[in-house]
Amino acid sequence: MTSVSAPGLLSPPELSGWSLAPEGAAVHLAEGTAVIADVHLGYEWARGSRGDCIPPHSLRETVSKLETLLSRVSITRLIIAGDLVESAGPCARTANDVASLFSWLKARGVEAVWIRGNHDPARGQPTACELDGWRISHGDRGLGEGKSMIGHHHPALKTAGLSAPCFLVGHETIVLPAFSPNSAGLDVGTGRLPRPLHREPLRCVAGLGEELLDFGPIAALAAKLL
Amino acid sequence: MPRQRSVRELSSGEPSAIENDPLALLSAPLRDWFSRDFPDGPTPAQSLAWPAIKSGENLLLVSPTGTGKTLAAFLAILDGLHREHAAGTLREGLRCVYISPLRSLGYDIERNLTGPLDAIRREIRLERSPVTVGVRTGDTSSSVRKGLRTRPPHVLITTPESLSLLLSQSAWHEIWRGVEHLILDEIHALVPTKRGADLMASAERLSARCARDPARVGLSATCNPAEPVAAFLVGPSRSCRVVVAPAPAGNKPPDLVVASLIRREEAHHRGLSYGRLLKKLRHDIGNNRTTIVFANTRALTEKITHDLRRTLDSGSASVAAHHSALDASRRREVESALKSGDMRAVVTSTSLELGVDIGTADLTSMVGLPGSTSRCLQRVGRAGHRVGAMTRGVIYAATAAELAGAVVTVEAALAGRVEPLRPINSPLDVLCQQLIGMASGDEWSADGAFDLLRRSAPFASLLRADFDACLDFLAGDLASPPGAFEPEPGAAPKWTAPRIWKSRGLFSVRNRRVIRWFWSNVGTITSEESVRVLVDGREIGSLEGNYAERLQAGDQFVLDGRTLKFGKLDGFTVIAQPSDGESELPRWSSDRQSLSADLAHALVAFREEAARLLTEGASALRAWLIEGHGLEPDAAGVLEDLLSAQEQLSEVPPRGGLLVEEWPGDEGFSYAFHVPLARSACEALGRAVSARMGRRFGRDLALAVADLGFTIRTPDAARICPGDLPALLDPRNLDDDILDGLDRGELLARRFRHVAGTAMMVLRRPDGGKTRVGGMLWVSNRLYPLVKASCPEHPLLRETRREVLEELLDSRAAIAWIESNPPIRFRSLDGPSPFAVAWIDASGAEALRFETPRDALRRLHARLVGTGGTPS
Repeated sequence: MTSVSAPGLLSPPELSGWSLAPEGAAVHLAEGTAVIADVHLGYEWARGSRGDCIPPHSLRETVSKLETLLSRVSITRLIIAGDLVESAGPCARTANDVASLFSWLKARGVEAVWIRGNHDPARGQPTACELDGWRISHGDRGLGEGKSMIGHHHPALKTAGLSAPCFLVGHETIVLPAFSPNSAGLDVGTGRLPRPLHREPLRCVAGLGEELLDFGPIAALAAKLL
Repeated sequence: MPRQRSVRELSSGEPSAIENDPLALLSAPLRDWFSRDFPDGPTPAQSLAWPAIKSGENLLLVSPTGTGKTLAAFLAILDGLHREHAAGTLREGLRCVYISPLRSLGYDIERNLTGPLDAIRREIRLERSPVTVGVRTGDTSSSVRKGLRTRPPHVLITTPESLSLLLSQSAWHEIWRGVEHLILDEIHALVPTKRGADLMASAERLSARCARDPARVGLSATCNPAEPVAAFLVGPSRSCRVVVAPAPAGNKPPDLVVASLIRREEAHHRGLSYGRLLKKLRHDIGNNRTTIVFANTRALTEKITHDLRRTLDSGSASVAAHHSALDASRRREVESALKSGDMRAVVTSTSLELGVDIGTADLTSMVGLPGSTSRCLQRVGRAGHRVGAMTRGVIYAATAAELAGAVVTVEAALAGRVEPLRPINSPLDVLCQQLIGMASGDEWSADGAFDLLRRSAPFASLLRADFDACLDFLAGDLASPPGAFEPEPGAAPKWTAPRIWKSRGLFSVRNRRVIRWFWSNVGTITSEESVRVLVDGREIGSLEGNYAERLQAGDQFVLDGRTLKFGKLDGFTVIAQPSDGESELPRWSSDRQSLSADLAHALVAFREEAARLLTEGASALRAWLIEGHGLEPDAAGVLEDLLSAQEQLSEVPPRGGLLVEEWPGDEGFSYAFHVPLARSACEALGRAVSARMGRRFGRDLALAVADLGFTIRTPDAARICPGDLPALLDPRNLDDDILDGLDRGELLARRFRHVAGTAMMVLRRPDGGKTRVGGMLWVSNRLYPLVKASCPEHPLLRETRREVLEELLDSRAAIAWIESNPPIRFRSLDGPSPFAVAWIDASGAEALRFETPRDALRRLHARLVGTGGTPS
């Protein structure tokens, strides 16, 4: 079972040091660090460049979720585990959004660490970093050995009319939900998990922004959902 | 209203020489050719149309199929061109534009014109016809397109979409100048549609580019009354002559019958009735030259074709399928095989309903109900589509409810009670698309564009405020989200890719990319998204999106000749398993069409009268069914059994009133509301009652709507009692609760997807070709709430509400009925009653959300993990 460490946070026992926040962040309180993934800033500009005329929203939604996270936990560093932006193509508006996000974080005393994902342009970002024995990467090139935290797959718990982003958690694995609500999501209940995630049994921890609920081993979910 | 004159009689007033001999109108070569090819002389439609067209009047020609409509419309125009040729004054240049809603109809017309033109050419001894004809559709090759532009034909045959495209090209602007006639075929089919609104706006733009306002010729199947169609054709500022041509002498009324696929005292078994259907179809095909089978859905069309092929004596090549998902060239192949008589039968969903000449067909077999009288007549008219032929049709009924529906459909069709058309009114998504098209070819003044559009009937009552809101949206000027995070105000635009610039009362397109986007996305037809079907992780084909959306776990369907069991729909992917079940049958009774309001009322009256007679005794009822309605004794028995079973297990709904039946389900209760109204009114009432129940219980509900009623499924422990009914059905605030019930479901979000596509807010074919992953589903799930939050009165949100409230729902009928204080009965049963099973199919239930997503997730957690509470 799980224990609760701070308002709204869930701390699965197999993950010493890490807590999960309902905003979709893994938080290391001792290190003052939060990790998020798949922010997909500039999603609307990417659609716009292919011809859609829609209202911009990604930066606003991202900042508002981070605001809630910062009111919940005190951190000095935010690691973005890949796909900070939607498209690697040059786009001045997306670049503006990234700059605005970083300066917003800086004004709150939070250092941003951008790990490169498959959607991100090459700007000299690292492809991985280490924290408390965990390797944090985007996950588009697999999990690697040992304790790994990744994004990329956009896991979500789906059932009739309801889709809740979720964490997938094992002793050596944390898969982060997509921070952006624009991602369709990998259905963890009845869909097939990508091969790299088969290395150990995973549990599903899902939420819709206010609290997290532990749905137990995903292996048992499919039978209950169908 | 336009000024109209109706000519319904052949010889009214002073008979003139022309009325005695309409051929006198034609010049000698055409007259000689016509008399030789048509020794019986012109049909009434032709005799009435030619003088009107000659005189340059606007004309609506209403005539049944098989009355020589093509020549009625064209011959007077071709005659004029030939006279010019004889006088040496015929010059190159476009003179007549013919628009058909069916691409294939265009090719048909071209063929039908080439023959006469060739014969006339021989008559006047020329190498080639002096009158040229060209076809421009989406399939036209780029070299032919260029040829049409550089040397325009005298007669251009095109579709609404291609016309809109040509109008947006500045290279065509001068070509329209000489157009004198605009022929709009199958116009009755366009009156209630967005496609019709788009076409009439285009027609207005075309007319404005002509030296003189071209005369309009509308061709229509039977419409009742004709005046709204005439008004639709010419708009508020022109007059229109209406000619209703009688059927040619010798044409007999249609021979239309009902055939039952079920027998008395046998349990409902789909396999049995499907087997009988195939047997009867084989019999039909064997006894007729050519048979057209209407199967309503693509799935059933494929299934029947497949099964007939295996068992027909005439061989597997003698029957073919025809539906909109088939490749265009394959469809044309089937059409020409039909026409030449090489094919014994064709099975079609609905795609052969409109006009293509299919030659010698002599029987129309309808599997299930056509839904409306006009559809029924249209389908039956496909057989005997030639002068003097007898039209014959049969409706096969697979359930008792279909049997009753078929009886009232046939009787209404024989009496010619065609439903009145409801013309479309100012669709703002079409307006947006038209404005982009206008801006693509020219710079416009907003005032001029507004005045021009208001001359077309569909936009005649367009409000300036709506027009301006659409221009603002296209210019990217509508409100930005409240509390938007804008570090530097004004740095980021409010919308991503504005289409037009707007300044000092003028507007035009922003850049070439917008023009390209317009060209590749023109059109108002909702191309249904297709979903991939995965079996064991392997893709085996695709299904129509809206078909897949209606499948439920365990449902079986046929794809690629294999029977599959539906697992779930995940985004744009269907997860299915091979099925080894005995039943290889699609769920065809649940695919039935909903009935028109008129037919629904006729069905209620039929059911009520049958119930009244049953109280007088079974023999009175049987006599009424057999002698009064021409049913076979066995079919009459099926209906008698249904009625008496309902009386025994529940009761027949009170006359003009409401019966509510309750029975327990797996969890919670089901409530069937038997309402004597058509589906659109039942949907309005069902939404309102659901909203009231949902708010009271604070729990999600499932609503299924049908003709003559709806069912609401509640979750565990949520139960109503008879005393609750007056409050649930209170006429006060019913309007607001209908809207609330809509907001809780998916209908608005789903419709918004199509509206956003038509308005080109989201491109159906985005730049770069392929539709993106997540595609249009994102539009419902994310864009719809985003637009609602940022701009609650966005013109496309209002269009979505208008479409749902005016076209899909009939709130007025629902409210009027509730206000009539109908008698109400309540019954608590062990299971669904015979009437509920027969009429209200719950398979298409829509979930209505009254829980917050958070509560729903908590409940799911409690159900799956089994801890009553949750950590907080």
